[in-house]
Amino acid sequence: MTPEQLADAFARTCVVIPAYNEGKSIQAVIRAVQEHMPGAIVVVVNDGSSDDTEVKARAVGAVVLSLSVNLGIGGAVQTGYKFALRRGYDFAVQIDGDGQHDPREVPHLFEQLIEEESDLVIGSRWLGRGEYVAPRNRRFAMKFLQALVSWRARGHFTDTTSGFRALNRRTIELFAIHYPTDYPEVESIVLARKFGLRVTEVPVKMEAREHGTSSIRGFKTLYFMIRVTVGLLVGVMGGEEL
Amino acid sequence: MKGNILAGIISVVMLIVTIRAIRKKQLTEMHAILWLGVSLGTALLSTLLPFGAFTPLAHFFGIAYPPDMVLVFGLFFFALFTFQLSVSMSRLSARQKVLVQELALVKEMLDPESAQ
Repeated sequence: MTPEQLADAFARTCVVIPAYNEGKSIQAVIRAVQEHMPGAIVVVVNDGSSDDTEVKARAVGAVVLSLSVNLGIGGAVQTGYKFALRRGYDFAVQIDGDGQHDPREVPHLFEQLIEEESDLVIGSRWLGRGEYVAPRNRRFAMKFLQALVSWRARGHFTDTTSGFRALNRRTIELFAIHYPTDYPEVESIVLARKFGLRVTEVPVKMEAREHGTSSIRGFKTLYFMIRVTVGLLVGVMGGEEL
Repeated sequence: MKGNILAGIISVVMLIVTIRAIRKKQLTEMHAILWLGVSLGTALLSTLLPFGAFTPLAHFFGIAYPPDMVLVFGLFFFALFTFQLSVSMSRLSARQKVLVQELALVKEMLDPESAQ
């Protein structure tokens, strides 16, 4: 992709950053996006934070969609996609508000999205670039999800929980209507495939978190596994054959 | 005999509580009708049970002690009712999600501060 093509694509891109109490890292994330994706609009979905996430995001020029009550990551991200759909953006990028995704990697996602005509491109930690090491206790969960999603989505997926993604208009339209509520990353891959969309992964580098901890830990990991497995096997969208 | 005196008292209390809740508009019609039905049903059962009205039916289902049949039906009813509550709660939270999202999008449109 030429720099001109990329600049043109960025001008039609809405960057969705779900944020729940990310006041410490949100400004750095927004600035990085503004620097490396010039022309893209930055939309922070403030998911009922009790800290100053909203004020800080506005201070550096992001559009803030503020949810009155906490909806969880699924409802927050979907709000961003609804915004992107209604304002007519052709592309959307989802980036976490905690600084673990590097916007300098977005051109890799866009190459796949535009030149290879994928509908949804997922940045994967596990395809060789970067030195991201998962905590040992999470490795089993990740392997399990890889196998489950690859089977349900009829493809090979390595990083099913990655929230670093780029999508085109078709996928924005789908996700604005149908988007899973709890732990949406995993289920949304299968959902997109079910609707006949092309979903691919590209290798990206990911940083360890700057602040805060994963929303999935401890006993929640077990609930997460059960919830996702049930969702993928018998869920409304997961139960039928592709 | 004492058992159905207790059941009678319970059904009268339930009836009073239900009617009060309806008056205060704490229950929607559907739930009001349901709970009225439950209290009247309990009253009916506690009246009829001592006269052996349910003995043939209980024996048909292989239940030796008729009050146990009432218990089984009661449990079944409550399982069904809680399931229905679960369904309507899920529906409510799905609707709430849409409303909260719409509110955020509308707030953004109305608020010039956030416009880029």
